[in-house]
Amino acid sequence: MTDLLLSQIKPGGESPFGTDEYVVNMGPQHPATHGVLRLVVKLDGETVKETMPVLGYLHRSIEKICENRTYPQCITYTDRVDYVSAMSVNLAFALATERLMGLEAPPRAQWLRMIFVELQRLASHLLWMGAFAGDIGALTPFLYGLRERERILDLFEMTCGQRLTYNYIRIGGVMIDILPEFVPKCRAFLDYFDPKIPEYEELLTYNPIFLERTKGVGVITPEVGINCGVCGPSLRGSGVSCDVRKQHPYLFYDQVKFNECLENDGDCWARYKVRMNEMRESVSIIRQCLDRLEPGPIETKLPPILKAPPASEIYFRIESSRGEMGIYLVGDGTPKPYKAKFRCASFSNTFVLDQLTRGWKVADIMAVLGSLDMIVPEVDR
Amino acid sequence: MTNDELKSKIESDFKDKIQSAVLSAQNEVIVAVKPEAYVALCQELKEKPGYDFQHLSCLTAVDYPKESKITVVCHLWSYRKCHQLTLKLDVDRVNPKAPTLERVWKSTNWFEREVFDLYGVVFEGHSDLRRIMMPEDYTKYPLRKDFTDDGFIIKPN
Repeated sequence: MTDLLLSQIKPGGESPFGTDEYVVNMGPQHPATHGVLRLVVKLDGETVKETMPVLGYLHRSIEKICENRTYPQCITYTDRVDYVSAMSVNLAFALATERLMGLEAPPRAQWLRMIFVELQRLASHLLWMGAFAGDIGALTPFLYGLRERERILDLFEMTCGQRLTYNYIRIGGVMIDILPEFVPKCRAFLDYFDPKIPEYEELLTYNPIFLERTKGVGVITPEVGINCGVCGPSLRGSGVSCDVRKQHPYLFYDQVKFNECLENDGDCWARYKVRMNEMRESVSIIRQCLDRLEPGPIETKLPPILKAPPASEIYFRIESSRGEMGIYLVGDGTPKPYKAKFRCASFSNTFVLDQLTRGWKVADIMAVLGSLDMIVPEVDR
Repeated sequence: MTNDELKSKIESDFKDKIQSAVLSAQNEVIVAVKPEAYVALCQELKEKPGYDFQHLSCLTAVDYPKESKITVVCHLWSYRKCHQLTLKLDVDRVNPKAPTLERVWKSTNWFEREVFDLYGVVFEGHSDLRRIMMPEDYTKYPLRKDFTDDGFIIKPN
């Protein structure tokens, strides 16, 4: 029987069995999907016909929880929206609430917030670099990235006692002032970190295997990127100026000098370059903030019960490590938000995945997914 | 262009398409759209020079059971002009239906699926309207104010 079937296969001819598309499940427990994301992939051989992300495995309905908590209580939950970059979400929620209620944090608190958010951006980009390189087969950068991230987490731990979910940036200021030894330690870290970025670049940037896997892969054109709602470093890799820190400055970003990192190719490599350059800019921003840090109060006097004015609303956006983070709050005169919406960069960035991977090989899905820097708790919330 | 100028420009340009345009206490331009002109207005806001709202930043909804309505809220942003706009569309709460914006901004695909999943608003013309967060066989709409379920308890104040 087998012989008969095999004899029908002519060299170079079509198979008598016919070929068919098949559907493969990637995840939800796939180690390279950065959490519990499930991808239903339709394949023709190794070529991807369609990628369908299935969300919801990490859905905790944080928005519903926030509707039933007071504003200060919500801050704790914002940590869990994006646990790799918790400071950014803390900041977004605190700033949105402050705008809604007409409060303003004192200057020292604002500078401290900037220092911690930029340190968080470094930590997040370092973890991303490791995970991205790991996804496409280079395991060493992961160890390098975590080595430096550890020192940033030590700085966080020294200040607020936590290493992952900080709850540090509060409405009206920050939780606690920094210790006297924080500034020298932070400066020492920056001096130590400066020569590390070229070290990572030596490992990856012009590595032939890395180039092969990322150059020209998953190209986002500016039009597609804007139309599909891609944001943050992923869109800047396509040359679109979209940094909220530049376009709609919050905190004191209009008082520090930094460049918006842009690349023009729009492929995985360009997105990688943008994030590497952003690390350099973050180091420079932190240095400027440390220089301008002056003694003073770290929080404003808040009323005993924080209430938003009736029928008020705010949509406030910041640039988190992953891109545009928007918080929509509706107040109804009670101590709890009537509506809280987290607009997360990962959610809109993951949407474009299907378009980017069509026609590429199945291994390229990991390269593209990694380069978009998505994180599942932020997608599912 | 300041938000005040943006508001008066919208008021004069789209008189027949909007119900009201207000400047909120938080200095945001909030425009309530007439349901029949919703998609056309979005298309014009995206393409008309002077507005340039190429980026749909966020689409969500707010439930108002007392007024028996659900408000679909869009936040638009212009990368070139750096201004922001809030669009609001009221839909009936019993039979919530809204036209899809997918043909204007592709990014609304998932945002609308999320609103459909959590609020039950049906976006007519949507290419793939399925639940996105909750299981496919789930029948309730969790973000509605009157949502109840086993195990979901709101503690009294």
